[in-house]
Amino acid sequence: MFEIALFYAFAAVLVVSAIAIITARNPVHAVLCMVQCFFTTAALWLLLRAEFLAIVLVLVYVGAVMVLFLFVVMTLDVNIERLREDIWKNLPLALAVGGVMVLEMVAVLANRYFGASPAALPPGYSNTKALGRLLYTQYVYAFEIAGVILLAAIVAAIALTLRRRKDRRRQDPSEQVRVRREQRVRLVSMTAEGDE
Amino acid sequence: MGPLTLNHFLVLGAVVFAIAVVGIFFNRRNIIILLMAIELMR
Repeated sequence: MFEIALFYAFAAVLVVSAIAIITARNPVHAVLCMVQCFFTTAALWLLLRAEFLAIVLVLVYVGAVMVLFLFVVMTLDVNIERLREDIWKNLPLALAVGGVMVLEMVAVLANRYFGASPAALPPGYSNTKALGRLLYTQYVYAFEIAGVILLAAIVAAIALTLRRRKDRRRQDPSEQVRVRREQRVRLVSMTAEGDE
Repeated sequence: MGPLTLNHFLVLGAVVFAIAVVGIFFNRRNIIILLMAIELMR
């Protein structure tokens, strides 16, 4: 019963802050609401006994991704009032689509029986160990393919943002090695003075 | 109320997903809020 109360409290906070994200006037407020959203989600995942995922959510999303968002939002300094002038025009369509989606998903979930409680776990059960075992045995190919794709993305991002500066002097070893005698020494045939 | 079942979490996930979809329609002009709405759908 205590878990139920916790669940509804966290769910209320999550839904309210999610609505605050999409209606916030200031993008910085939206980012902060999103941080709160992630913290609440982490608490909900703890209720699901997924402690590793909850910790990773806080570390990766709140610690890295949302800080990056915050940097971008604070540096960009967007003009909010111009962006929000005709926002209410889209509201009926948005609410209609959202309501239909909620009804569809609730119908699907209520149709089949998903009502199983989280199974009682044996003492000493480690969520992290189970996740790691699954990730490195059954899904190892998918895991490695994801790693290669991320590596390609890193290389592509560096290659896209790399710019070579023209105003800096530096050595080029391959040109130094390929130098030939004619480029350094020029023999000039000229007559000596006073020899005429 | 009953015990806490998986259905509770799934319905909550559906609601948050729908909020994100509404947010995408809602904030068409603001790319940053739009990206955050997409993040919310995860």
